[in-house]
Amino acid sequence: MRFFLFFIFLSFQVTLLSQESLKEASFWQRKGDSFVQCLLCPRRCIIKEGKRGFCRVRVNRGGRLYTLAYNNPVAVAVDPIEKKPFFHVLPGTPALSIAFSGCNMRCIFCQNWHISQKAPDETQNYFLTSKDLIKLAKKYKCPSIVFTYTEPTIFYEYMLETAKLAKKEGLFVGMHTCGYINEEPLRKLLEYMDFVNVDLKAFSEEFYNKIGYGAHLSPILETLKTIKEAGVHLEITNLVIPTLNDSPSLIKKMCVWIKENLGDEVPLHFSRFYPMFKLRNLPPTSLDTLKEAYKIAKEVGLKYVYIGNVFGVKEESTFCPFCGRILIRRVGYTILENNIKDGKCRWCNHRIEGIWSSNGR
Amino acid sequence: MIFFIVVLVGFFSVFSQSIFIRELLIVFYGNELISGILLSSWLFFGGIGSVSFSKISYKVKKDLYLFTFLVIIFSLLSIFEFFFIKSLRVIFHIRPGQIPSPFFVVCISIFILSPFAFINGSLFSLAVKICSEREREKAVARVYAWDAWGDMLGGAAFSFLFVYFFGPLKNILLVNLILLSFYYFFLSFLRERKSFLLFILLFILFLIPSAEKIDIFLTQKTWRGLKIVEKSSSPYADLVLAKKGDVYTLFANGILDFSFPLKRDDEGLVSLVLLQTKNPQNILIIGAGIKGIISQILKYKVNKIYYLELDPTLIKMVKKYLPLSDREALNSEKVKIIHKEARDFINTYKGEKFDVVFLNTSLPLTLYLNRFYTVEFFQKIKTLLKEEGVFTLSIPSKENYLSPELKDLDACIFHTLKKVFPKIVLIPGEELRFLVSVRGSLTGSPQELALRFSSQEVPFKYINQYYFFTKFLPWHMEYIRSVLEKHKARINYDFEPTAYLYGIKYLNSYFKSGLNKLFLWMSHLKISFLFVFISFFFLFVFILRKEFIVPLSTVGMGAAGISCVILSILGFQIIYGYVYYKIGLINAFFMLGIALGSNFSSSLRSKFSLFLPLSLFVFSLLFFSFPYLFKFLSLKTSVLSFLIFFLSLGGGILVGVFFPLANCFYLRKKRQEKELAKKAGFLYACDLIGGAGGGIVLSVVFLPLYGIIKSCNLIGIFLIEEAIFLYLLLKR
Repeated sequence: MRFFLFFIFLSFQVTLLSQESLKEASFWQRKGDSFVQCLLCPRRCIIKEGKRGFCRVRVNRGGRLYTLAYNNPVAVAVDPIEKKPFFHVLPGTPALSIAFSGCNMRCIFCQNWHISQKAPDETQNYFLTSKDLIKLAKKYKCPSIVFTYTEPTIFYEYMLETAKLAKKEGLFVGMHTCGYINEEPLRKLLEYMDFVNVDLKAFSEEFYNKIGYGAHLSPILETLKTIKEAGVHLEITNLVIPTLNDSPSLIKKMCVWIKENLGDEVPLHFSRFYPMFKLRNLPPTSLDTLKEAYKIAKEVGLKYVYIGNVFGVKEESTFCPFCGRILIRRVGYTILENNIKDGKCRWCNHRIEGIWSSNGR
Repeated sequence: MIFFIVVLVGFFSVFSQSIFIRELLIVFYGNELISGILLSSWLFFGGIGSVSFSKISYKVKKDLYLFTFLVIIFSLLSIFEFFFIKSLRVIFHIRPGQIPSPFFVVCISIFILSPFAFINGSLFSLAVKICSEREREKAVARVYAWDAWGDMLGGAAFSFLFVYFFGPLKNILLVNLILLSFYYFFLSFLRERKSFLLFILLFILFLIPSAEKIDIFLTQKTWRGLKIVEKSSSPYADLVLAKKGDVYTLFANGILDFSFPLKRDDEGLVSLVLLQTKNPQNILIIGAGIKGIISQILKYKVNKIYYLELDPTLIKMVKKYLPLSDREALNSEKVKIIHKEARDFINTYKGEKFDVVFLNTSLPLTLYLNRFYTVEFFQKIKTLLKEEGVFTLSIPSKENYLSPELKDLDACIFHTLKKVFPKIVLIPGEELRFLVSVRGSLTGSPQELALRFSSQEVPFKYINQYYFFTKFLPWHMEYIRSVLEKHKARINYDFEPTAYLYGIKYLNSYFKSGLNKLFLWMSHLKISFLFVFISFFFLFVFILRKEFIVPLSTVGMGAAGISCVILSILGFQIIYGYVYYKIGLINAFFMLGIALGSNFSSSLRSKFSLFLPLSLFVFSLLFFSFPYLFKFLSLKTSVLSFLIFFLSLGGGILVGVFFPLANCFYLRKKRQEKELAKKAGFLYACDLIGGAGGGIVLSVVFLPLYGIIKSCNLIGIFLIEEAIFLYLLLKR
């Protein structure tokens, strides 16, 4: 009932909002008289007067760069944090999830294509300031706010502002990103982030070039290293797509890189693909393939590996990498058992990477 | 003898066209919009070929050599185009499973079909020219009639015979063999050179034994990364079974139908549904039961499972690859597999009512599939269901945001269901699952379901009580319900297929195309505006360029002809269900009507000024009578279903009468042969272009936007206006 009343409230806000939200963007520079260059993501779009960047969100007006994604989120929801997926962050707690329309990728298998492949002025949005969002999080007893669904980079200004406010209010802040962001804005953002999940779509330049419409793998790898360096909790998701990125050799390369550059304690989620968007005629990933990927990751030496989007497999649960006993028994989004105490295995006292309680560790 | 060749060419062209359009739809995962565009472009370019050739053919002295040359090009092109179509996804680097943009599909398809269609139209004009040497004014009517006979035979041969026995490549090669063999004898009869034909015939004979293997090879290339396990053709669909890892996937006409074994998903779905009702005994599954839900249902102590699967080839193909438990489940004495279409089954079922009905059909992306999402269909389901019984279906959705297109589609189905079933539970997700009942104790509470789950003595293997907490997330449930309750979408009826319109709009929203904007603009068009616009257009033409009234009426007649077939097929499907060969019969009756009408028209030539407008007028009455006939038939037994065939036959006769008489008007003062063929070619083009436009406008615009009744009335009114202006012109 309480959610129902919230939607009545929000829908009222939608009808009130009849003008686009415009805020001056950060991370840009002038390029000649009528051009600006956006410096937020590696695409570094050079944008003519009146036109928009690749993300459809940043627009050149009068020789200045503005963002259309500010105070007008397209999706707001309370989700279990495991859904994001974050398995090493505040298990069993609700996360207030928020997204704006737009994205700096064009993935043909995007689950949220209906909002990521649209501009904010093409969708029906809510009106929610950062303060409103914090109030909502407190109202629904969500210890964390997660920027997710679409690509949070494109609503950078709102995300940063909200993150700062949230930290002051004692909330945790996280994001699920494709990682396609430049170093400078990323470092600034990470000062206020507690946890990040990066979609490492494939360990292949060709994949990013073709599927990501001219994107590159290396900036994403740099993002991963930067997050690790900054000491922010990091988890990685790899959506395993049949025929595109499911070859064992590619998966192995990825796992080896993760171990060598990020360490063996970064949780890695292999997520099952279901027919989606422009790949809605491609079959779902077989469980065999996911288990093979899991096995490869374990053999490489990664400690925390999971299979996602498959209900009831034991690979949803967390096991102590030292003594092998079950730490968190997960079934879907339900936590049946939590044997982590003060960030350590309660049996062998091995420190477990993650944010396990509201005091941070 | 030339008339026999005209029949043969007509046979070949419709036969090949059926294969090309089917293959293009398979390769591009097309829908009704695409198929309408393909058929229309075929007719359009046929018209262009006809009119172009009618002008240039007189510069060529040796008609027969040109005709022979075109027939050979026609034949070789068909083989080449088949291979080209099968290789398209590889040539254009379209990934397996990827849907290309509608714009790309339309452009490439037109590019492929246009040369073939162009030659087809050209051959008509050339045939008229050849025949006019002897037959004079009668040549047009005779060629038109014989072409219609050929079209009818070609369509019938493919639909009722060849498709059952051979794959597409073999069919193309066989029809080429037939065409060229008969042509060889034709040339022998005329004592013309023909030895070159032998080489082509030998080439075809060489390919025939390996045709199936080549077909599978080409299909495998298209599905690179997946292993093609088996391929089969049935009258209903081209079926491909592929494998990747431990998952098999069935593709019907290139579109993913279902994957198996996905035991977790099946066990989960069955639990979600069967736990909504106490002690379910009789279950009805409509479509896709073979993928694994039957074995899950049998874990509950059910009494009987009826599984409706229209295509027996599908069962035969998939069964071999099922896990043992699923194969055994199909053979269980509790399971009855019925090869009948759902509406056909429901109309005749007289057994016990069901506790649970699963509807597993595809999205309402065609007029045919729309019939499973209408008020009338849901009412029929309700009559089969016990009061506490549960009916379930799912459609695409999203749990965090509904775009305008999704909102329309989801709300349409929601409100349509609500009209029939008072109780509805929604399970949000990538698919929105509806659980509906009249009086059943439906619940959306995961706690309640977990309790029911725990009390079952069912050997669950993959899911447990926590499964329901992943499905029924409170935030998303309330979001979906609040959006759908508030959103005013049109209800979906048999005769007002709005879900079909919303389905097409939703699919188009994947791409940034102008099609959705076009639909949106057209959906605001009032019928009265259209009526006024067309009326003024006719008046304008009548006042300023009277000589165009006849071609314009020919366009209108072409459009009305194809509309008659589409409406007859749709009406039949709505009332009686989809019976493949009967649908083919409707087409065949129409072509037969054209042939008969053309033959009959020669006796009316002296009174063409009366019968031309009269045929339009009578046709308009036919359209006005369509809705009443459908309503009448829906209340009566299926014994009267033959009336729809006669409707189609009647339409064909009127079209067949009109075209030769229209030529009579043009040729009343022209006696030269070249004028004969030129005008015949031009009018034939008008006929085809009318057919092209009419098909697409009816299927894609009128029917989804205005429904069947208003569309019939609109077409009837247009025909009356044409009749009036034509009468006024001819009276002078």
